Amino acid sequence: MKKLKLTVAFDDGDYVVYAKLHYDRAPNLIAAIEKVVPFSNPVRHARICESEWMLSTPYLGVEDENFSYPDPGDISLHRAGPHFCGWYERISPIGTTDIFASVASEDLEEYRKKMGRAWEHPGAKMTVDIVEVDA
Amino acid sequence: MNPIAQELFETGDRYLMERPEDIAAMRSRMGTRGQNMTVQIYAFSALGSSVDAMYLLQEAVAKDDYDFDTVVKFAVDWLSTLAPPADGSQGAAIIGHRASVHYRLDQLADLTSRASAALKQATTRAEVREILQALEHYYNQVRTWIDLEFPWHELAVKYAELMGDPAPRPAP
Repeated sequence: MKKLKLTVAFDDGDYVVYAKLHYDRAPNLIAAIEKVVPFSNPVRHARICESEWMLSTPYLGVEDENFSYPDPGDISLHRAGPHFCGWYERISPIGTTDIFASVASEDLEEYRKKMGRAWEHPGAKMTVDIVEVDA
Repeated sequence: MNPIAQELFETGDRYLMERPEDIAAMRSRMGTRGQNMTVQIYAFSALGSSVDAMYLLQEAVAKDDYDFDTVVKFAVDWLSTLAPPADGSQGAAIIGHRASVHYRLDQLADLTSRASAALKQATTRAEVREILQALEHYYNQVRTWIDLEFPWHELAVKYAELMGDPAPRPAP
């Protein structure tokens, strides 16, 4: 089974988390991402959208496939730019977004603590890949 | 691919992990009282708006219900707020050619000027869309690096103190 793999190079060591890919909800977007991985960019934190990290991506040129409100762990594409958005806590959404992957609930507590660092310490290198893992 | 679109896409891809030279120059541009902070804020805002504008225009030019000449003219006028077309056709600024003079983003000004001239020469919707998407991608990467220069957390804490607001919540 293929999963999205995020590796964040924090000062005290790499943090790796995997996310389930939603082929049923965003097949074209995932296909576009598969063509550009692996890629890296400094991770940043949103300033208005509450508990959200952001990552600029290569140009993907895809249409919206779902108009969803995010839950904690969801990862989506903001098309203008574009950039990935990752929510690590429950928020009051300010709009819909194109969700294509989700971090598993059992990984959320550590994910929340790690990604929350991006607010006070932005700029850690995040590498995005799609890899084959055991189900 | 149009040569300027290719150059913009390649430069944008390189800036995914490479800090643009423009950023160091922007940090040396001082404002009214010798402060750099407002230069960063204005440059960040200008590029954020331009990313959104390029995104909307590249969507518009792909649709027949938007007039081709009007979309191109609006795109060139928008870009002139950063830099004039590199064909000498616009000596007087509509709002201001801000990229180089105001923000010292000289490479961005040069690429914008050449892209703007190429947009005026383009004859098909597909060619215009490609250039607009390349600009969107390139501006997005430069904006990211301006964002990373800005001490959001520290300033948010200080701002709350100055304004008498509650202190920002700590990270989880």
